[in-house]
Amino acid sequence: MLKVSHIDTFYDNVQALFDVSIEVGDEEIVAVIGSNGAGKSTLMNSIVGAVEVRHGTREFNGQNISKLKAHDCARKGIVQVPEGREIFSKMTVRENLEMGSYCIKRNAKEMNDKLGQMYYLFPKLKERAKQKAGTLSGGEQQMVAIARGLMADPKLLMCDEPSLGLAPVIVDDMFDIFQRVNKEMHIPILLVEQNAFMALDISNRCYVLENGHMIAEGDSKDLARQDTIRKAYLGG
Amino acid sequence: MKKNRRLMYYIIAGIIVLLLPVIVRNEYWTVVFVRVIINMIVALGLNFITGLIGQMNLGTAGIYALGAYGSALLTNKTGCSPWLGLLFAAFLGLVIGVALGYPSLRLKGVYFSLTTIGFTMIVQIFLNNLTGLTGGSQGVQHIAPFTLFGMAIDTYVKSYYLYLIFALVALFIANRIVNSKWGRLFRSLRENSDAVEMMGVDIASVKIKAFCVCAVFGTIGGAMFAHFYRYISPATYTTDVSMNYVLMVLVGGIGSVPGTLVGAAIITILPELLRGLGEYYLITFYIIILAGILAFPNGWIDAGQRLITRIKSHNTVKQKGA
Repeated sequence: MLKVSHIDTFYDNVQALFDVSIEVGDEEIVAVIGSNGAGKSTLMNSIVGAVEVRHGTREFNGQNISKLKAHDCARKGIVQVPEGREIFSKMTVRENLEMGSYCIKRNAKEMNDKLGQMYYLFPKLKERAKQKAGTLSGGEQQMVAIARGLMADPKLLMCDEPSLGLAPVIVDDMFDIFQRVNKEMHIPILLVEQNAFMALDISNRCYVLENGHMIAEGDSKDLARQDTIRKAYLGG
Repeated sequence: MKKNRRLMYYIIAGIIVLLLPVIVRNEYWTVVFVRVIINMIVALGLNFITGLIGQMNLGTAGIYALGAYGSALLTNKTGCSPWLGLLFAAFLGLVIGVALGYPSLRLKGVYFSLTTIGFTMIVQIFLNNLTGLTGGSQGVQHIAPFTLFGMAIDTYVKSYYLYLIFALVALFIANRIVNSKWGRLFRSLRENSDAVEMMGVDIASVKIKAFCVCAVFGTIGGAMFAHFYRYISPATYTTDVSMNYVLMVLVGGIGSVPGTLVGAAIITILPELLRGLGEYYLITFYIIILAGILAFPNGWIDAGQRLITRIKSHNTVKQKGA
């Protein structure tokens, strides 16, 4: 589905990613873990071409997307739920969701069906539909961000730090939802997380980033058993 | 019931607007009302940039001047119909929209505002110094009025009615855009342009389109001004004028179409009402506007609506008590 090979990413003259490769298969949940500043968000932005990638190639469904800009990638179906949610806080929840499908032509009935699907997945959002998104709690705002991403009918959903600033109970709910999206809607998910424990728990495969280098990759269950990973990311 | 009452208010407002020159029967005030109409059109355009996308455009005077000069010079030099001049002004608007839109992609906040001020100043300098073409500081005189079915629109009252039609068309278009998918897109750009890009929207082209709409409304307003006064000079188009347009967008209610209309009316009419204060009229005007912005941060329309609901709830409480 998504195949990124040997990319080097730069912020002006500072190199942030070194020869990074990553792959996401159909119907897979793939996690990228790493500490602050490891380059996780940079990797996300590199995939959609929102930052300067100097070398390497990016392929999506067999198509070369190396030259595409961020908005073109979104139209191809790579939908990113950004770090820190970035919702439209002065708009209502419903308006936020409708904005998500801006680039998809839908008549009123199709729109309602799609919204219904989101409300089924996130019942809380139905209650809050007419409320300004900025007045919601952190967890609810994160739900808005994910639902807005799903409104765009993604072929690949990328989530940047969905657990950021959320209570542990809410984080559990959030990860349940990712599994449901993956199983019920058959959407592959690329998850970038600091919460390595959760990320390893729900993902099929996992990559470990450190200082811009990919230092490990493999089956999530195997990685969770490795001593070095346990020490560095799972607290011993 | 509620809908009927609303319709009734609209009809009453419509009748008042239609009969205004007949009721007032005063040339001075008719001119003021024509200016209100022109300002409404320009402010409706500015609303897209400053009200919805949220970029402070202080170049309205420049846009307005180019529209006025474009239309006036074309009709004066070639003797063609002012309607062609109007079309030419609209075309100029598109060009300006693209030219101002591109810097806006890179410049944010105050830097963009400074660029637009610079634009206005450059326009003014050109108008003052290209004496061969623009007549320099003398301005352009004897500009032909609009004609309709062979009748010259040469009196204030006739202009009022013709421009009222223009304003209705502009209002219809602005309303359609603001309340459409586009309007919502513009508003979401103000809040979070990164998120908009992640939804697959090419922000650059959207912003440039918004600038084009803004500039076309502005140049058309300028052309209407030229063919109404039939004399234009560079001294009219200062940055003060741009500031006033921004105030029109802010005072009524940012981003809303009725708010912009009310704002344009207040900012145009209020100074005229205060003329009796002699040399103190401008300072009084600005104090009122400033106090208004402080007291009603969501605009005068919002303040009015709050007042009405308050009176209503007060009345129902009274009825219950009795």
